[in-house]
Amino acid sequence: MQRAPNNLRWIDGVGLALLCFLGLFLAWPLGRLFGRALRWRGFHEVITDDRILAVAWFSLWQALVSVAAVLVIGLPCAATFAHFEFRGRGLILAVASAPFTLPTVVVGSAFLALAPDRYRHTAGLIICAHIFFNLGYTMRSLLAAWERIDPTVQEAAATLGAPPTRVFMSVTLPALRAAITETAAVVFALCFTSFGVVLILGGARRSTVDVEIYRQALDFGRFDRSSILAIGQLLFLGTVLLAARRNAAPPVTGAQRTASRRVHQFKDRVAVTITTLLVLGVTVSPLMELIRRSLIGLHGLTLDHYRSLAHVTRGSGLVGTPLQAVTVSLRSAVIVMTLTILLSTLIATTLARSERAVIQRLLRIAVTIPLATSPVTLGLGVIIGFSKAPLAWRTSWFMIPVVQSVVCLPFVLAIVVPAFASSPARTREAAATLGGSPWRTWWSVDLPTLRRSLAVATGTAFAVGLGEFGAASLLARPAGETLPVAIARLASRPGAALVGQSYALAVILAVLTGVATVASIARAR
Amino acid sequence: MKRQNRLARYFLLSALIVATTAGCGKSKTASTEAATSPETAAASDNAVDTSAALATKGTITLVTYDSFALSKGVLEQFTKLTGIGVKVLTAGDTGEMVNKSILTKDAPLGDVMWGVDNTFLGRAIDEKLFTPTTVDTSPLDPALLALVPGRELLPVDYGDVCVNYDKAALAKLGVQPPSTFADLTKPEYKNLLVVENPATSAPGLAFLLGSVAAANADKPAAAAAKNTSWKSTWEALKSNGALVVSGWTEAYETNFSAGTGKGDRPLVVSYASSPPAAVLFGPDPKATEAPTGVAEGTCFRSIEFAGVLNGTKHPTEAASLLTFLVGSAVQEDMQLNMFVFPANTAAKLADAFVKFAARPKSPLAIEPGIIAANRDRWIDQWSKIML
Repeated sequence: MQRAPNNLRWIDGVGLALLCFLGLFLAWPLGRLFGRALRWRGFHEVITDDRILAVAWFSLWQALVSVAAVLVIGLPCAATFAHFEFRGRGLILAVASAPFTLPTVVVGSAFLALAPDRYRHTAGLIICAHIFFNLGYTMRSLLAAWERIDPTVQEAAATLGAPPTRVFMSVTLPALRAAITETAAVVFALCFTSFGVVLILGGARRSTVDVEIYRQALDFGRFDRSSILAIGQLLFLGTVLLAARRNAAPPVTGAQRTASRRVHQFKDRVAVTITTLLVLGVTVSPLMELIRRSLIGLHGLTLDHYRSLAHVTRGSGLVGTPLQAVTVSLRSAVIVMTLTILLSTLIATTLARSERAVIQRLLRIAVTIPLATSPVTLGLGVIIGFSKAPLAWRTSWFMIPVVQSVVCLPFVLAIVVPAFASSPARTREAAATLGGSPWRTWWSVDLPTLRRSLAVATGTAFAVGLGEFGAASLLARPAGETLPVAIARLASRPGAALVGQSYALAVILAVLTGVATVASIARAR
Repeated sequence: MKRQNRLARYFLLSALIVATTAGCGKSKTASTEAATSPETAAASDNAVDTSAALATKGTITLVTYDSFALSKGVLEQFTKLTGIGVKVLTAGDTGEMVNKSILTKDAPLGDVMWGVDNTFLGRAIDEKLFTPTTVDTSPLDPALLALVPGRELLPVDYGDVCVNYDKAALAKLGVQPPSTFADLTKPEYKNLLVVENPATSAPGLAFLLGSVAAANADKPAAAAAKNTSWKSTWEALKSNGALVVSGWTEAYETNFSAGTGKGDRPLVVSYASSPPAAVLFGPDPKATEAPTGVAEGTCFRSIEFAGVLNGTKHPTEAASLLTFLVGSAVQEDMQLNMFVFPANTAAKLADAFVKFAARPKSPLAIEPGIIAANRDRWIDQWSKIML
């Protein structure tokens, strides 16, 4: 085996440090939980249980259908966004992205209220909600990939007389394959592990493996059965995600798309109109329902729910005013964002530059784990794993942001890694030849290539930090709720006023998420 | 060059943010020792952490469920009296809190826990989560106290889970309000009831236990575990169109006709203290009659307990806090904050409770030990019938 060149050694050090970090905050808590709770005798009992098999089957098929539906809608929409520059483009992207981080409790209730009676508690409604949640993410990832395609190749094909469909099939689609596979796998994992949506929209009849993991552990205290399910889910989704990445074609390198076309022809306008209607149709109606509910008081339309957010309401179950939750969440989102961007930049650099296969492989596996595991499992692991000195960090200020940032790493990496892989090798080699230190080369060649993706990734990380619910709600925390936790708590208190407040807070969360997305996309332009 | 400058600024900014938050974090940990995290103490006028200035003898942690609520100043009163600071740590709903505590037995989440209910009491005692207390129990209701002969925990509050009805909607349909489980299976209540899944909802579980208790009303407690006649109640409820949903919020606020969602079901499983809440938070807080009523024959009593966690490093301070929690200041204040009745018989009942709350004379009950032994099986059997 060829030894790595000397000037690349520093990256192996970075890789090792990253592995230690992920090992500490991922492998250690999960290992502790499984080691503590697992009884192998129960294994057979769990995998032959009729109800658990039914739950696994439901998780599987609804996730497959959801992914197919999201891709069928998302792909053409992403195409339109990639090709055309039109008024409201950023706004529509932002609106489509807002749902991704909305708390499922609130969205679930909005969907339930919107759906006609006979569609309540059907798999169809769950799939609709999954489309609603994941369309924005899907479009953004595909769009990011689309914008990395070298337009000159497409133009060359067109100039040589290839009809548009041919250009699409033989140039664009192969270039997108990696992104499509990867996005599909991520959305599949998200739908497979869907928790809150299924809990509310599935009614009592339908549940996913993730819901079952939660129920066994926290309702029944059967940590053994819960761990067996969690390990099963981890292995299955881990395999799917890694397989998707392995089959992914290497990204096309080359210039980045400079600017999208303006809308000229009639058919352009048709495409833009249809896309706009489709995206808004999917995302706006539940959001409108949220807004409507936030404005309806006991005596008709009112802003009371918003006004009361600044005050402590008796019986709200909150430590402070609901508005303080906004401050708590914003601060936490900034920490999560900073940490995630730092981590993902380093990970992307290591994946692209390290020539040590072991480090590469371990790192790829490590960053897949957060997607394949449920926040409940990770949260329980953290509770056990960080309760004793020298690791008594369970209630430390950094524990929740660190876990949240580990949880959102896969999403951010999906945006950053492909961009990084396309950084111009020749320029870098030239820099190295001219005596640039590895650090200098990284700073002046690699990082600038990443700027656009990093901007988009920053928006995603910020939004996840703002809206993350699972880990935040499970981890023992000092007083001071985050937005999603406050929303969930207000929604579960008796009294119309508090439920109204929860809708008002949810609208604020949606707006903040939207603003973060618009800002990051604007930076990326 | 320009681009690099921008990047440099971007990273500098990130580094600054990390540095400031890290700094903040440090000062926070330091003062947590003293009492509280600065943001809640400084910014909130309802902080559950008692102020650092008041605490002179260190701070202890009260672990409780998410919906725990007391008025501003109540816990501060304790700190003023004793010099002991209190930090409140919420740990999910009751089940989450108890199960998390079982996982963290060797390094407990805090010093005192509030909110273990009678469905989890048996498990909490079996797992030795609590250490027996010598706190004065004389003001506490002897009937409730009898449930914890070992005094590992003390009763702090109780409330009944019962079917609530929408008075106006039933009047419009021209039917009388139901009062017992048997009533609910009658044809005039077809498609009117919404219940919560006992696997995912505390009131849902209490209602299931109520049905078990009702089916065993005339039998000795020990026979309850074997008797399965409660199943036929549920089969009848199912064929009478009972709707099952996951949780209280969905049932009350989406499906119940007197909830905010103006649903189409005039009967819902909720609490005996829901009518006062419906008045206080409803369209007319000064109303003289509640818009909803309670079917008293369906009421199952839920009792909550507090105790000193095994493994606490502050047993004396924890005992002082427990004494305070069962004292009248907390027992009176909690009523309209959490909509529960006091376990302390000397505590004065809130006006709204006296006027609007149902207070069933002999609510349904099952011994905590029997609940602990059969809970999972009953839920499973229920699921087979209803789902």
